[in-house]
Amino acid sequence: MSDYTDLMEFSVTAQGEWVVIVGTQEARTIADIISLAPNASPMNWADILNELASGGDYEVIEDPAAFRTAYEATMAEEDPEKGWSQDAMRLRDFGIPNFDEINVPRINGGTLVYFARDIYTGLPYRAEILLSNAAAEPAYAPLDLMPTPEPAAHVPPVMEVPDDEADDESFLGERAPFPDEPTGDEG
Amino acid sequence: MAKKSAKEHKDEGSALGALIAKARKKPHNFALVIAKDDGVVLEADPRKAAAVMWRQAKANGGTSKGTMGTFLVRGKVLEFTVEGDDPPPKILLMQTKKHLKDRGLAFKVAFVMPGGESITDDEDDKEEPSKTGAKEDAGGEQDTDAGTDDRVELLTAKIKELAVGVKKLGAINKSAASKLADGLKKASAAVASGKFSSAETTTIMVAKALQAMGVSSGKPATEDRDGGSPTVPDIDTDAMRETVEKAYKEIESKLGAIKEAGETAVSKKAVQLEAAYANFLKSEDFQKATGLVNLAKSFVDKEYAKLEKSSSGFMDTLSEMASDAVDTVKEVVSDVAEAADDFIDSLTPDGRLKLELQKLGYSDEEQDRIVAALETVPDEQKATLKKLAEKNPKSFEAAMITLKELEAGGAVEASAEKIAEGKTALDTAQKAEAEKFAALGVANVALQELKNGNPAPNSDWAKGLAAAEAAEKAWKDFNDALPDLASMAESERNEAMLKGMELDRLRKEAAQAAEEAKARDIKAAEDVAAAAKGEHDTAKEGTKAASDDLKKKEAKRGILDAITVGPLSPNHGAPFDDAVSAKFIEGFQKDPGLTAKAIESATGARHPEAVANALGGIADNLSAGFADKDGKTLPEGEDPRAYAEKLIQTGSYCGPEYFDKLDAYISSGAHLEDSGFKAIPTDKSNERAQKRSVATASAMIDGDGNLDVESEAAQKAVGNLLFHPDAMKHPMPTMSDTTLRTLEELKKPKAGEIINGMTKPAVGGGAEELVGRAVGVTGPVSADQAKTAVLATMMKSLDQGPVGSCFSTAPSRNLREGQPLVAMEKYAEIASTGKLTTAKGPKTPVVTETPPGEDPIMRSFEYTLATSLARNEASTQFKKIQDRNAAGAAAIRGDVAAAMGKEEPEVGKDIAKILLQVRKGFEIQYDPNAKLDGVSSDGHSSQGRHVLVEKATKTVITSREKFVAAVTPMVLKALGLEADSDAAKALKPKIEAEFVDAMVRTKQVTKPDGTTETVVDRAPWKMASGGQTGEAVEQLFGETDYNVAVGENYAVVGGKEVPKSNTRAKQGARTAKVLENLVGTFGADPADMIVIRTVGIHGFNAMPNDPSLKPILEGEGTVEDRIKSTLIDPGAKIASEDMPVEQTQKYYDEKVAASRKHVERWISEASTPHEKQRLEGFLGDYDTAAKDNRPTEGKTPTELADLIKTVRTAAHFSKPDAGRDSMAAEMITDLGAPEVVIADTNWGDSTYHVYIVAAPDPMSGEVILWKKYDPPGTRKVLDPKWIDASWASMIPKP
Repeated sequence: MSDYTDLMEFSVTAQGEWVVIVGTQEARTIADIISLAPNASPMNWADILNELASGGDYEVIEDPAAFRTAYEATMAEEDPEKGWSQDAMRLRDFGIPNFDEINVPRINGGTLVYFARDIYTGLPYRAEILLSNAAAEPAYAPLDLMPTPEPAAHVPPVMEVPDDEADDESFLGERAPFPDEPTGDEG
Repeated sequence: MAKKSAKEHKDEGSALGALIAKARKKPHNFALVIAKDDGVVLEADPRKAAAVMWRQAKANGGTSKGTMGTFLVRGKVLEFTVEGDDPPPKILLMQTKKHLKDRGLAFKVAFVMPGGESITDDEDDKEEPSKTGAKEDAGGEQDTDAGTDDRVELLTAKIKELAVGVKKLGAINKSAASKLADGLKKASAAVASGKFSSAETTTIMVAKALQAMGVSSGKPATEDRDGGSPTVPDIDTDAMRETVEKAYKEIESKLGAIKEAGETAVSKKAVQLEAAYANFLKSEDFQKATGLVNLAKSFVDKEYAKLEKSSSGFMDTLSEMASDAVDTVKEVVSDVAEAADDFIDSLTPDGRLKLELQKLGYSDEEQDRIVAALETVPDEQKATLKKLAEKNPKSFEAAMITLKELEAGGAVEASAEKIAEGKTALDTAQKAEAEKFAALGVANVALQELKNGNPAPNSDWAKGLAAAEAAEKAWKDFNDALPDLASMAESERNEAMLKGMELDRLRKEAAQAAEEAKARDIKAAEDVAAAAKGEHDTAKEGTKAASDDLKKKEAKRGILDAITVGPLSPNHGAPFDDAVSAKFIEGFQKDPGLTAKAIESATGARHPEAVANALGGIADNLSAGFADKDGKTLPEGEDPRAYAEKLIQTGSYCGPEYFDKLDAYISSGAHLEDSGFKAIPTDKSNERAQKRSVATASAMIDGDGNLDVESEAAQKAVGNLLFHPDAMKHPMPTMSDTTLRTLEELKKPKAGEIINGMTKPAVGGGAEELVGRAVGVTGPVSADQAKTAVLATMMKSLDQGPVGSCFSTAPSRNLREGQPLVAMEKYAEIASTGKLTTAKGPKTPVVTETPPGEDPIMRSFEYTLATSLARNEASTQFKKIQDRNAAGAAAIRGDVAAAMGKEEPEVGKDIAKILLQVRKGFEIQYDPNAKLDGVSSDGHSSQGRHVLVEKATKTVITSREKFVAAVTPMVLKALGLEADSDAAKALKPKIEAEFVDAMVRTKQVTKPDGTTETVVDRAPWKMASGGQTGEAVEQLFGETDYNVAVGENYAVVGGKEVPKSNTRAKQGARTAKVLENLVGTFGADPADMIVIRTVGIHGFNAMPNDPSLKPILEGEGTVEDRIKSTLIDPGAKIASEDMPVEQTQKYYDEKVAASRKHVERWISEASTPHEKQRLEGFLGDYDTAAKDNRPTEGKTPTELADLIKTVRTAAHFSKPDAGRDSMAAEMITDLGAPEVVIADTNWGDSTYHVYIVAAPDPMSGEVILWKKYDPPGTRKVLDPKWIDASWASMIPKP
């Protein structure tokens, strides 16, 4: 039986405004919520504050084991033969977190600590906020990552200046076909 | 000791000649003593002490009468500056001159005392009878190049011919005939004494005089009675004196005026002329006096005019004097004028040249040197040389001297063909040497094998050994088979004993024979090895000779090109300034080959003046073997010349700061020690750069872990990076340049704060990984190693690396170049913490996956910034989708209420659930291959757009249908509705219509027929496209102003957008427009770099403060006016004017030769004899066309390109016009086309960098954009599509 008596829920007004419903009360900011001091679960706190603070850039890691499984599965799908590319976000380019460090949201001494996944990079961040400080915002810090064990196998070509098609040098030594030379279209 | 033979004199003369040539260049120490037997002994050397040579000279000469000191040759004077206060004995001077003369060397001798007093042989000249008995002219000498039988014969015949005429004249005018006869006598005497020029002068004078008096000189009617010298009448010297004096009087007053009012040098010249005239008159040498008066006339005419210009009052006076002079001239009798003209006309070609040089202000000595040097110059280049002589006399003179010296050992042919032959000869010689070396190796191995006791198979020794073994075996077998002696009868014992003795003898003989065979075989092998060594030595000498020969040819070619078409030439469009040219000329005198290379490096380089200033010092270093302060030189195996050339190449990019450090470095001897680079031969360029920079950076951290760039160790390490022979094997100019600039930054206190404050990277983290890879260690790294890694990154140019992204590199490079220490803070953060802080978004863990060999810190910075940017851009895009989702949800709010059986105000939580569910159901990704609406033609970085992906199925949402299919279940799930429920069925159409419609943004577009239509602009399946350069700038610098300079200039053809500027003329107009508008976005006080982009193509940096832009940014008129005057007008001029003929021919010859090689290749690659035959026919046609079309006069660039096209057409090239742009690119420098640096591309590495410049195309005259590779400063036309893109600049807000 949970000791938590309050549940915070999101709602959208007819004008499109997001509000947090705590019982019969409405809050629109983190400061409003902290001043209401709801007796909500750490998970509920984390979900609501994360949403209000990041606007959806992070999602709270509710199940660390599932996060680890998904993280490792994603890395396994990434081709170790390929190197970094601006065109693809790859976990192995950054490394592996200490998964033991990642826990479900907790409140200790009035401080909420939760772990969140950056939804764009997939990398884990640690967020922390003092729930007694109405002016506080969750502070997100990336976890230390250990480089991917596999050696960098991909050897990209040396960077070359683009050679334009208009460059006429490439035709300098090209011979015209003999008038009677087969072109390959015949026969 | 007997007098020396003529041959001995001749040989000694050659040696003395060589010594004199050297002493012209630099002073020599000398010792000179009278020889006991013959002449004098002269010992001279630039380095040996005079006292040492004094002992040597005394020993060789057998007397101690002489002197010592410093010896120099000026013109025709050997100038001995003697040591001590006592003048040398007069006899020494006379003996020395005689010594020289006996050896065919006509020189004056002067002893200069320490106080400056000069003892010369002038007086002796007048008194000393010549060998022939004829009196020498004062200061004159025999025509050393004449004296041939032909000249004697011709002059004798002429004198005889004239004698007939004089004889005829005698019948009419005896007095005149008498004077002319005197002249012919003198001519005859001159022939006899070898003074042919003088004889020619006189005969021409006599001929003219005869002609003036109406007497024809005819063939001699008869030979003289004695058949010897013709009988000649006398000439009247009084009349000649009168004539000369009259002529001189004509100019005397002007000469006086010049003497009084002319510039110092000019006035001095006037004094000299006056004095010389007086001397000639005194010595009654009226011929020379007449010549001198004519020279003086030329001089007066030239200098008088200058005085007129400089002073109006003085001009009036001069006008009066000129008027008087005219009157005086009228009074001069016609034969005087004729005589003077005759004198000039009669001069030899060399003499005429000297007169011209005299007019140009050359001294007598200089004239002599130049005339001698010009003998070796091809006729075709003399016109240009004359121009050079007028424009830059000193350059001309020095170049001529150098050419002469280059050919001291014989004529050097330096045509392209001869150089090609030289290369082939060197190649052949090198191959031969390699073969001989291999043969020597084989011979040595064979010999060693023998010495090791291993006979060659089937050799005499092998056979001998086999025989010895057999004999030994036979003897042994016999002994073993012997029965007990006691059991044998005596006869059997005797027989056995005899047999045994016989076998013993045989085995000993066989052993002996084998030993002898061994000795013979070894001797033969030694002979073979010795012969092989001899052949190898000969081959080595052949290689050296071929190499020396080629170097001479290339040096001569370099000099001639430099002074006829290169930047030392008056023909060159952008010649070096006079001071730079003078330095190069000095270099020619020190080391022609190195100077030719230096000019090559300096042409079009960033710092030609630095090269010119450093050249002399490097040549000295080269000549001394790059010796350190203790005299220790580069070790065997290092090529000092190649080393010197690479130093110059690198310095031409880095500038004077580079060369300034060189001497101290060489003197320290650091170049003779281990570089510490730890490079291996297989290292790639980026690996070498990393190792060098790490070696340098590690020396900048002191024992306490603090930054110290001025310690001895740091200075030495920097020197190694800049100059060490290991570094020069693979020069890295851009890294050297970056290092030099960075050193100044690292001296600032802020640099120390950053570096000293760095901490040890966490064990096992990303920072440790990057630092370890940077410094080449695995496992835990120290704080000092992290500092080293950061400093190593600072040594290198930040360029776009492999798989790099231009939109990230552009602002990164901007930061690195504009705020180096801020960039270093970022590097330090990466290396210490493994995180990167940017102006926007959260800290990002660093990318640790960097390409092997690349600088891990630099690449991690670039990649992490790109990742951080991409993350934030994705966030922005995704939030826009959320906003549209909200609009969609609002549109169906009533329908949701109906489906849920609630009142509309009660569904707030349901709407929130829908929005959260939909957001969690999708993710956003970047698709590099998504088709863009606009042009997508990035040369390097991919261009794409973000796409929405349904998480559950990984479906990429590319259409409305896919979005509807994905979003509908999400909405239903959020509301807890079963898909087949009535409520869901009622809601689905609303989701498909109203919900989705509310998420779409539309726009009106105009169709080709002029009508408009509404199209989807943005939707979840059509997200924003485009580059991210602007976003990257914001990511790094914060809020940024985005300024569009010009919009795109595309047309729609066949449904595709294509650039409108499809001709050079349109490209020129567009370039001017882009340039004008781009500089308009820079603002009043721009930074050195501003990030710009060509939309859809590239992100890079403009360089507003590059000096080349100044004429456009500042000055009279509008920017448009200044672009016209700076770029457009000069371009039109260059395109329409003929190039000098030498330059025209140089380009033609080079291009024709290059294309010919392709035809030769076709022939070599022909697959059938028939094909080969046809191609050989092409080659024949090509050669004919090449010969027929070779220009003999200057052409415009286009005319020249057309000629080359004609020739290439003859050989059936597929694109005969190919190469036009590359030739145009070469011409930009040669023709002095203006050039404006537009931007830094981010492209390059530690060895070069690429810029974008605007310059006229010399063919069309239109201003277009070029890629400029620096070093070496070459250009390529930039794809014209760039100019039609939209251009924009991004400037961070203050």
